[in-house]
Amino acid sequence: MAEQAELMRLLQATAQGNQQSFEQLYQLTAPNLFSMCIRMLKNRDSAEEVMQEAFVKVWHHASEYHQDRGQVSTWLTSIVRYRALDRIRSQKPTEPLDDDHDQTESDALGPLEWTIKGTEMNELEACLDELNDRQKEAIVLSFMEGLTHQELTERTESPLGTIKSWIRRGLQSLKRCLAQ
Amino acid sequence: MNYLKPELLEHLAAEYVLGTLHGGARRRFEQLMMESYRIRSAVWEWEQHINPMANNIPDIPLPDSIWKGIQQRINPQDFAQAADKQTGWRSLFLWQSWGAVSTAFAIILALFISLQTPPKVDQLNQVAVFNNEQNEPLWLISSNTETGQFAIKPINAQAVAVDNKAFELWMLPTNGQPKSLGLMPVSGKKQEMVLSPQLLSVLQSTQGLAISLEPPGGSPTGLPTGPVVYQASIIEL
Repeated sequence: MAEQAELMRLLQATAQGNQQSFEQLYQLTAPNLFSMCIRMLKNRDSAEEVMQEAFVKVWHHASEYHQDRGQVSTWLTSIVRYRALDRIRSQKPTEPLDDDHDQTESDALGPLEWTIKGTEMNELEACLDELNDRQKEAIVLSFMEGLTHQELTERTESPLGTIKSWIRRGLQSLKRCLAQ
Repeated sequence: MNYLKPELLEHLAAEYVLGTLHGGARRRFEQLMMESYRIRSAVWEWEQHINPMANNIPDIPLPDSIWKGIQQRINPQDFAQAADKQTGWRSLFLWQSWGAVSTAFAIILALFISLQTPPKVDQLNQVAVFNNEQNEPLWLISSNTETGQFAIKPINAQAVAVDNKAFELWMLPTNGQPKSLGLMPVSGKKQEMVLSPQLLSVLQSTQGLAISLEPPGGSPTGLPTGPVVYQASIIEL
């Protein structure tokens, strides 16, 4: 994603009703967020709808952003991810996701590999690497694919209690590591 | 359960952000977020911890259709004007009231939509349009008082969506209390249903519709519990 200062400038202008800035903000951030959506939803049409809904929300609620929400990219990621999660949960009972989604470089990587593929090892990546492989796998899969505990049991062929424990302990370790 | 107990709060906030908190537990937690700054702060903190995980995903080129869809939703008046040129209803723009123009356009759009698929002209004999304060259409309602067919089409409702709240549609019969027609979709395709004979008979004595803001899942009492945020008259065709 682009530099946070630039994103902040564009978001502030968006909050003032500047559509050009809003479009720039979209162009800078949406390719990454769209990729995240496709990975979560595994359906291009649904991903497009989620992106539209999320960015319409950004347009109407830009002025509600504040620094307690973290970086602008964090805020945008939350808006898109929560919409995608809602969509996944509402689809699951009646509408199985198809497999006809874009194959990206990230799809070819397992949850244990992809997080360290960046050129710079950032703080989060370093802390994820401190988790044991099972904890890391459970956390990355639930974040990247929106999997529930139950779905993680099927994916990892592990009991529900074990999955919950991996996630709980993994998150606790992550928090401790990030606080250092 | 004491949600403000630090360890529990921390855990729920983390699983909320991760997405593993789902269903009723997620909805309850969202309600608690509305009530407590401390809970919201815990969520924001976790968002800052783990959202950067998304940054390493390789970008995907954006199809033009996404931005066009966004523009259409944030500038519905431009969309309306473009559609007006296509349908040749220019005389409508002689009308002095923009509110009347947008309402009329929405009705035309409702007709257009309903005449597309399936092409049964007699299926539609009522429409209602919910507008925002700028008289831009948010939802189109169409119905047939003989067959009970009923459809809700969100136009730009996403723009007025409220986090952790639902829009519920009510019939306002001439006599008696409001009767719910269910929750309003804020996005997606036209939602169609067939009303029960009981609801259809209420609709036949109804001249107006209203939308109230309710908890997720709708009013717990069967009557509006939140503020009425939009109203619309039913127009007979």
